[in-house]
Amino acid sequence: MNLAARGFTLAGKALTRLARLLPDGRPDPLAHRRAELGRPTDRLDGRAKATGAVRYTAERQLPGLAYAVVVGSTIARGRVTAVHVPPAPGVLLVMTHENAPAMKRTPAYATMKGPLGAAAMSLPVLNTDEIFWYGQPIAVVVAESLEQARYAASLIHADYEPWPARLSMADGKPYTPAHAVLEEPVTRRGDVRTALGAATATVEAEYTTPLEHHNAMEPHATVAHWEGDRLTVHDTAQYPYGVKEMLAKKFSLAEENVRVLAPFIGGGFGGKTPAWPHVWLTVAAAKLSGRPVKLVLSRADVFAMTGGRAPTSSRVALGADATGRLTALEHHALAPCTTDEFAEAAVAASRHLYTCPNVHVAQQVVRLDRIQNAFFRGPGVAPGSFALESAMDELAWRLGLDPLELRLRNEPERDPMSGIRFTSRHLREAYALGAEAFGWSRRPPAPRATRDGRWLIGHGMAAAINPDAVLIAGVQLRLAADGTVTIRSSTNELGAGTSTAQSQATADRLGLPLDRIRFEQGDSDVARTRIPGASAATTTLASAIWSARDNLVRELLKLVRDTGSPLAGRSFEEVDTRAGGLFGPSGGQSYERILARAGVEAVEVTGKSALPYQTVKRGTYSYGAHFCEVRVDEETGEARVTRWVGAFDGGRIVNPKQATSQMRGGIIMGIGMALTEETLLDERTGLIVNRSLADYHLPTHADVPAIDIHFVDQPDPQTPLGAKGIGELGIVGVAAAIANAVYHATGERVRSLPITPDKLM
Amino acid sequence: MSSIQLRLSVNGREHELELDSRVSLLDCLREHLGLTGTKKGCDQGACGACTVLLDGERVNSCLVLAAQCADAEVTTIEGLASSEAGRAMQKAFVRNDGLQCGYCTPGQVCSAVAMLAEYEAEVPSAVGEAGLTDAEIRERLAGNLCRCGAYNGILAAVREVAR
Ligand code: FES
Ligand code: FES
Repeated sequence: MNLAARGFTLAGKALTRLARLLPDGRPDPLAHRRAELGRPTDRLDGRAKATGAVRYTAERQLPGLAYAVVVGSTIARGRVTAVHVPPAPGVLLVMTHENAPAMKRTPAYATMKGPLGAAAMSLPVLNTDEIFWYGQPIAVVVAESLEQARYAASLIHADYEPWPARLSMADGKPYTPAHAVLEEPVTRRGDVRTALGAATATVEAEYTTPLEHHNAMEPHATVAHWEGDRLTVHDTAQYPYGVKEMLAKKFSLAEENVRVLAPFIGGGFGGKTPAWPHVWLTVAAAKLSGRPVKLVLSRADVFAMTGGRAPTSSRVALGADATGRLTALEHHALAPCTTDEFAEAAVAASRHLYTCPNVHVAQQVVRLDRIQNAFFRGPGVAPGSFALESAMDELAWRLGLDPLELRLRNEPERDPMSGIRFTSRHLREAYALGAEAFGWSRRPPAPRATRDGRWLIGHGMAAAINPDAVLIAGVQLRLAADGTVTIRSSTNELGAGTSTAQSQATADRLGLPLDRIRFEQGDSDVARTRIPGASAATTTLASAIWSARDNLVRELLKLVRDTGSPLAGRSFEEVDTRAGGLFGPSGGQSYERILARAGVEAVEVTGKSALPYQTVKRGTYSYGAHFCEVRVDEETGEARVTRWVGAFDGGRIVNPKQATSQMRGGIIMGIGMALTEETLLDERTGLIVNRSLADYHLPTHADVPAIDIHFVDQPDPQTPLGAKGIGELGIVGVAAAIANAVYHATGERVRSLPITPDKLM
Repeated sequence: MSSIQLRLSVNGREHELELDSRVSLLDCLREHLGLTGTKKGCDQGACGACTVLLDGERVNSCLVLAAQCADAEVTTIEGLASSEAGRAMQKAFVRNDGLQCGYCTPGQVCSAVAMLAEYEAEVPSAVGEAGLTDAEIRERLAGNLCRCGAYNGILAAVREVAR
């Protein structure tokens, strides 16, 4: 372990010890309230989406708008020695490293090398002649029309001085990163090797997952517009506030002069969490051309110019005694990174899912000349759990134990790594709910025992776990004289249903009907908000709105102070927000009345999320269990998922309709991960070969069965609304459940994703 | 790279346009007519986000040049709302949560409306089951990708409308 890794680990240990002194999370009175919360309300923006009325980033039209197209490098490492630009009609600007304005280097996101700006990488793209990956932007063409820009870009070619490139994981030397996105990179306890020697049953195997791309249906897009030294950017940013900070630094602007707007995003899944170089290059091109510029990445550019999910290889060793208790757990994971050392923890599930006395988990990385990886739904934990949850299944077979029973026997009471308590953990209930709905106990015991013509049928299961983060957000709340409330926030609507869920939460928080609430999103200038993803929007925003509500109560009490109101002279603690107004022990008044009596148009307050001490003091995770049926064509090796039950502990469920959709979405993405998805990078050149949606296979309608979702729906006593983040949970464990079902169907164990027909023939 | 004069009928409205001959129907709608309800997911005919109706039949508008549509009637998601079938489908999508981010949704809705008409007209599919089974619907909509995975809700919406 290097110095940075040791430092991070020591600091982490000290923090865990100190964390015992921190306060617990404040129990939320709304956690048990059943009015709007818990109701399966239709999405409030559903109509606008279904009629095509929502405007996404690329749909912003500005007067004088010019169109940009990026040209990528055709080598993976080296120098550009010349860029040839044949003349073409309509071209306003060709920006290369020779004429691009200086853009300050900003630290890469999630590497802890600096503040939390959103840059995906720190590399000085277009401020250097150096090439760091295949497809790195070497020129940006700006033209009057899209067709002209595209044609001009097609003519551009470059001369290079190529250098040797490290492109395969076998090319680099593995080392321990400073941290693996906030997980300790190495944890060792007891003696795994001795325990493995003494175990009744053991499994030792290597599992691999490939490079994948998010492929949100909406490609990344940026529209940049300068007015003097004021910059407005419409961007497909999951993290608008971070993009604002980053752009201010890159272009040496005061933060208040940069505004990033991103209300509606056509899917993100982590791929739009960091800002990829095209974002700041569009801003630079707008500056240089003196025109508002729109750049939309082509689908091929999305593959080449934005990062994907890091491929992983995991060596897992498990040992258990005759009663099915784990005695040894080893998980050594390897993933690539770049000079920025962004490293996810593929070992996360192995650190928090099972109790075991002898543990050795270690995350390592190799530096490669590829584009930086990105967070991708269930970062680290989704690929890593494929390894762990496959190995658990293998162990169950060796022990002759039901895989569900094996998991139940190893369910921890406290966090297995730190020994701290959980805020809540209802995984047992999730197992029970899912097993019952699926009919797990009726599973035929032997592999390869069920067939239907040429189809072999198997059942598989796996556990899901995802860290539950509460992050930082601010909101503005405006109560108008007509009793309507508008909440504004710097987060955005990615499809998770944030605006609907927060409207429901606000309605109950203030005791108002849902149709009085408006929730506006996507303006970086509302408040410092650090929710780049991490399934954290629901709880973090709820916390900020809770604080805004408290501030509103204080303001309203000021308004009634010297009136004949039954609320006059009441203290903050004595009053409550319910039934359309403010109420104390001797009665209350509606919001409209309070404002009317005071003669004010509106009351405006702000709110800030509370510091989430509970997530440091205790283990906070969401959990789940997947049960599935898979059919494998004995002749062609084609695997099809035909039945699915998922049961989840996501704390209190705010909107069961949306939450169900979100879990299904995760599971469907997991089906793709398990069976079809793989970004094929030619390790000789660095070129991504299947850079289109025709060649990168996302699950289609025809690949997806009915997916049955259940929730434990127990409020977490320490989180806002009693909720826990569920946006990423659904995908975790899916690939393993499918691989386990494939084994049950065929007797073949596939340890490398995706499980394509060639691996089953 | 000549420009062309074009008369285009979209959602029952006539437009006189002068366009670069390379402009696709999709870019014509989005960049020239301000009809941004039709989405671009791949620009290569692989995702269905750009589905519109051309003389009542679904097409990927990224694969059609605007110049090819001079004599045709184009119906987009915006226009669908004025038909009974279109409105019913849009409502069913919302009720059954057949959408999340909404980016694939206009294409899904257009495709679903046209698919039901195709089924009525006995256009065959690869599944070829008797009756409009779930497998039939899934097969017939397989050209419309949804990365958010709203497929279960979309199926429920189509079922509801087909009933
Ligand atoms: S944009 Fe036309 S099929 Fe994808
Ligand atoms: S709803 Fe997001 S892609 Fe379908």
